Amino acid sequence: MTEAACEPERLPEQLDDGFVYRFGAMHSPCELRIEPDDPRLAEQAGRAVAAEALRIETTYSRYRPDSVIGRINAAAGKPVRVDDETSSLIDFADQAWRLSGGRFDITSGVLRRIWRFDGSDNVPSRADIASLRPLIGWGKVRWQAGEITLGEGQEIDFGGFGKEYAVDCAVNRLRTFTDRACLVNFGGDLRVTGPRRDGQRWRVGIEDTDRPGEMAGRLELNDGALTTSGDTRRFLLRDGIRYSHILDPRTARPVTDPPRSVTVAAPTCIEAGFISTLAMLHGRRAETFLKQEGIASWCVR
Amino acid sequence: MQLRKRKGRLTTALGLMTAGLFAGAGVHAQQASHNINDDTSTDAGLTRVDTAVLFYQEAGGRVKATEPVASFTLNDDSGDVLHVKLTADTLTGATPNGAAPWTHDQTFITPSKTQGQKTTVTSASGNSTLVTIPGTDVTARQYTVPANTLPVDSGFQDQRYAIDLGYTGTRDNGDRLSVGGSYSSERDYSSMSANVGYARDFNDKNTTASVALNFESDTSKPFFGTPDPLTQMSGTLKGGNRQKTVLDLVAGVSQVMNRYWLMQVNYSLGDTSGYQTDPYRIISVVDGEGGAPVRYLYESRPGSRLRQSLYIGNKLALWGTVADVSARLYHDSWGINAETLEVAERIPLTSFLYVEPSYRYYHQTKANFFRDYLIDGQALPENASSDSRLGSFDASTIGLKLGMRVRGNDELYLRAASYQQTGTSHPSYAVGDLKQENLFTGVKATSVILGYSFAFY
Amino acid sequence: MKIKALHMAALAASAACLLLGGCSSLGAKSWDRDLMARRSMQPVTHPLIAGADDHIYFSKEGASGGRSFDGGGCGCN
Repeated sequence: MTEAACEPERLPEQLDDGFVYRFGAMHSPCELRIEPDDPRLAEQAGRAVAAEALRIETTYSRYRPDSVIGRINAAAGKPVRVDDETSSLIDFADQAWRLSGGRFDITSGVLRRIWRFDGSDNVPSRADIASLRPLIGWGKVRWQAGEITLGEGQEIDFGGFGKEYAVDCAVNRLRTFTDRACLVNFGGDLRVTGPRRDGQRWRVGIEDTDRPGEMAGRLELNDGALTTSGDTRRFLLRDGIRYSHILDPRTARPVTDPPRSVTVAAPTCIEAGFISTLAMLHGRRAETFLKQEGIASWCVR
Repeated sequence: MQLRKRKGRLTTALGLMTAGLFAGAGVHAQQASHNINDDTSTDAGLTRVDTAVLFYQEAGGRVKATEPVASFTLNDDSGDVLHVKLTADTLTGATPNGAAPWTHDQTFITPSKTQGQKTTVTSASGNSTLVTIPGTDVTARQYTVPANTLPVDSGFQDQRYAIDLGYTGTRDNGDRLSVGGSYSSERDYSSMSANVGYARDFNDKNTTASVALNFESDTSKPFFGTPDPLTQMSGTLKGGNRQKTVLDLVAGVSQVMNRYWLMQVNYSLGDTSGYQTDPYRIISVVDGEGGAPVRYLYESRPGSRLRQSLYIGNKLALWGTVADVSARLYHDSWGINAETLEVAERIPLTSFLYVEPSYRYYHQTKANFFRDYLIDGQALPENASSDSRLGSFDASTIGLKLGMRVRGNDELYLRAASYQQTGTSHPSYAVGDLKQENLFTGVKATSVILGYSFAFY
Repeated sequence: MKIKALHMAALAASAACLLLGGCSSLGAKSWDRDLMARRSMQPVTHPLIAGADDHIYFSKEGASGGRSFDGGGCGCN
């Protein structure tokens, strides 16, 4: 397995005010912060969270031919029976597509074949884009009675919400054996489950979009999830135009004039992730969209 | 930053969708499948603990065993597996001593465990008596077996402890390399082994080829030493310990035949060399006319055994059940040929309960040195044993397994089985009054295994 | 029914060849592996029961081996 694997057995690191358990998964640095009385709970919780991240990464990795996604994408037009969990996730993706007016589309991953946001000026041609457009569109997928049939040449992946779903699953898992407040953070998508022991709120730094690594501000939260969508690191620059890496499935092109970053708070991570991505896809209307929906958020232009 | 009270249309709908996503799903890792019958969860990243206890009882007051066992399988992220298994085994009961039954009582003498007592006072120990061998100061144990019954030695008790270790590493290309070892120790026997294996997938993981090699070294150390083969049974101490070594090779192919059928073929080759005799067993030397026992000799088995077997196993998922059908052919250089056929059908009862009835048929031909008894006056063969496990017989096992999902993919299981060997009680060649005796010494046994398997992080 | 050692080896070799040789046409496509993925379809579903059975049959019968190495390890050959 060459993609990010969990690091070998780690012990949680003791801080002044609790423990942090760090590991790598889903191409991101991940951590769990918890304030237990017993350090063994921190270790047990850390391993449970890491195992859950690994489980979801392995099950839904688009790189593995034997994962659920791999099997669906290899089916070449044949129907694929899926299990309960995958079925729930596909239902979610289906409803999300409708709710977002087509902006949220799990078949749009094929665009990564032509759009590579490496800071260069390699913007794909109209012909490239035209060749891929027939492969995109959740409307072309048959999803019925636990069986999914992709249209010709189509592929799906859960990259748009996989990490956020993993955070929520990890939190659900933790809740089965502890009611201690904790913070689960997978590469910036995070969720907290209650105030800290001393009654204080968890403090989360927001990265400065112009100076990566530096904090532009700080949020404090007691409960709920926080995700950030932005183009800090990935973009294309050509003829003075900056192309964000947020692609609109309806046009097969990057959305025009999105905020530099959007940070959203919501009860669960998967909701926060959906909203922050959707806000970016509203381009210059991102702030209006967020205000209309009454969402706690912070945009940076 | 505070959440505003008025939520937008989209946010409300999203909240409902999310509730639906997690409501049915629950905690997936723990409840990987609601149904034990179509559970496809894996143990990746989990530690699995499997504990069970076997209760085994042979009919007629023969061997009784209780065997608790615990295994721990630690799976890490990258497909590597560490496996540890601990076994304890307590055996009691009577075991046939190898002599043939007779129309009169028979008395046997064997070295006593209480050696070194320089006294002529006799005392009872189980069904036997301590005696002093005349002309010596050696204490021996003497026991008498009633007429027309299978001669058995009671007061046989043993405890065994064993540990098995194994590690499988997965390389980047998916190949698996395994190493392992084991150690087993009981009062009069110890064994250690080491093994290596290699497995590789082909054809989009539809085919798996594997090969493994096992080396084992055993030491037989009966408390009274090892008797010389085919010498007369007596109460004196014998020679020392004996060894044997085993080398085994197993090569196999596992093939997904189609969506519902998995087949496995294994070929095994094994070579055992060294001491393979049972140091406690005797064989009767009888009068050629009347069949009366004249003397008893310690048995003898060859020092070399080459074994081969071909095994074919199938799992079929049909009509909501899973069928297990397998066959094995066996042949060795001692002349034993055996055929085995096993079928089992796993039938779901509810989403958390299943039942699995099974049947096993076994047939073996006798070893070329197997004898029910020897005839006095005839030349002694090089090897001779009356052990029923080397004789010719059929055996049937009827089993029933029950499995219950407890929580997540944890399971409580119970397997009861009834085993019976049948053979020729009155062979046509029996001499004299032995024609009336039941010369077949095979077993009839019942076993119950109760186990619990659970996994955690 | 006596099976000669040579016949056994030949049978084994041909069975293996049949599988390996005809293997590319046999199998299930990756989207049809749902049944194979079930725990109940693993070759050995209850290792401790299999181990206990192997031990019992090894000590009461002449044959041994099959799925893996023969029991061994105890003085009950």
